[in-house]
Amino acid sequence: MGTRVALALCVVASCTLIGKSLAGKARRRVTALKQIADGLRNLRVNVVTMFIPMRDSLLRTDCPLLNMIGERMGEGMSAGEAWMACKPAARRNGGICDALTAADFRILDGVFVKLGQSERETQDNLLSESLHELERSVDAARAKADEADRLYVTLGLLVGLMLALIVI
Amino acid sequence: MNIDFVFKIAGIGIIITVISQILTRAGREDIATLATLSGLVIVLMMVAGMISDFFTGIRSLFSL
Repeated sequence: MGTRVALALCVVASCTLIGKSLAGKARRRVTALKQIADGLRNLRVNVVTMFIPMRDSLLRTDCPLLNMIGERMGEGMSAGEAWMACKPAARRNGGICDALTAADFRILDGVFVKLGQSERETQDNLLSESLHELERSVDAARAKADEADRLYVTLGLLVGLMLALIVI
Repeated sequence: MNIDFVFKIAGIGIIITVISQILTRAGREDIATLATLSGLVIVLMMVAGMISDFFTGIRSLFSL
């Protein structure tokens, strides 16, 4: 009887942890979006205020995605071409942007395709608008992550209880 | 028949109902339906043997 109770408790605990890990993807989206928004904020300062060239500005940010684009630009590509080259690797499972949605990628497409293609003021407006959109996405993603956390952990606990009932 | 079995089935039914409600309120009605059907299948699998014994008993009782 004691073994069965212990097994049931293990089942409940593991199902709850599985639920928590399923909710992790929503959290990763918030982290990725915040990282990209912070990177774009630094990029804006570097490009618009400090007049640092685009490639160097991208490499100086703390965002791995922007660093990756900066490195590809070293091969003679524009920012848009570098982004298109980096996108498949970033989107893959385990990539930097694997938790981002199609809407998030549309915002990033809008930024990188036009990056470095016009004069300073236009770039400033572009980065400013994109930052605004990304910040809205971060807030929405944070609310969704909280909801997903509660939902998946509760579901995991309930499924674990049900399996424990079957086991005992 | 062990009365614990009845309590088990009741407990599974209650948990499935709660799961279904949570999923419906989260806007995932399709998954809620799937969860309800899965619970039904699990309970049917649990009682299948007992239903078979029940019909065997009826058949032997009436010599059918």
